[in-house]
Amino acid sequence: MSTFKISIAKQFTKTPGPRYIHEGKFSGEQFRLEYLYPLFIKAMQANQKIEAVLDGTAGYGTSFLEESFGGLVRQLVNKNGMDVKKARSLVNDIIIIISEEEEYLKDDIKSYVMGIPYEMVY
Amino acid sequence: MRWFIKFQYSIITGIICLAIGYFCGKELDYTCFTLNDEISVVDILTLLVTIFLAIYVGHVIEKVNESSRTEKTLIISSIERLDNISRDVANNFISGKIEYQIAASGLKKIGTGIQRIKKRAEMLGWKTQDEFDEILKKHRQLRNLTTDTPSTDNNDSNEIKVKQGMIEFSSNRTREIHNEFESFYLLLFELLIKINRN
Repeated sequence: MSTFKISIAKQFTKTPGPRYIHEGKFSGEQFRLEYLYPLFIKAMQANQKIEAVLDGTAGYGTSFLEESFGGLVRQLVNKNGMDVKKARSLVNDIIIIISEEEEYLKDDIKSYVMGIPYEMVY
Repeated sequence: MRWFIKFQYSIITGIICLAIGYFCGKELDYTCFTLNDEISVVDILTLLVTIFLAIYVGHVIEKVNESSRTEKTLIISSIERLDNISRDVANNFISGKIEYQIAASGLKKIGTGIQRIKKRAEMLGWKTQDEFDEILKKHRQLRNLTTDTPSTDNNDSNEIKVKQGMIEFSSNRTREIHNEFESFYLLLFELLIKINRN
């Protein structure tokens, strides 16, 4: 089974910015709207996974990652009318986070997606 | 000559001890030890193997200790470097205003530094898991304090705001960040002590 791949550093920016588009350049909201959400819908329809590669950037702030991945759950609930539990479990199943430089970000993103504190991720 | 000057006291002490031993032995008429006329080949071989093993094992142990000492020194200097990086990053937050990308990149430098040292310590089999867990927890708190800007659902916070890519902290939040950095340095120091004792 092939997987879709998205590298933030290669396809979006090496210097990720704040949460919202109105707050500054290369925001989490922009990344979600222009890259992550369209790819997620494509992967969901094709029953495939997405490998999201976080390596290669200057660094991520908490709000960028929360808005990208946690925001994706909110978007699926608010715009697509999906059930919260289903949206969380889908995002969690479909998106595989690849981060060798900052392994701890995997737990963080999982906690944003599942809406739980990071201590409860595992 | 230089060698003699360096060890003169040891040599003189050695000669005095030998002389005292010789005269005491003579006085007591001590017969020392006697040698057999015939010595078996097996005994000689056993003696030679014992001497060889004594030298070889000593050499190997010394090498293992030397390598462990070098690793320890390397890790200690990495922790000291990480401490310096953290202090530089912390200085960026003093003014209460910082570009989002600069904040995020500073925190990544600290995070990757912790991860590198943690992996090296794990490779050496050191029991420092709890210390690293605490350090990573503190690093996460620092990231949240400095770059977790509020979402529209939770926008009543005046502690942290972003305008045109610049994060602005309230004086209260700036103090909190400063305190968290201080406890982060303390955790690094505790790790340093633990590694030193290893």
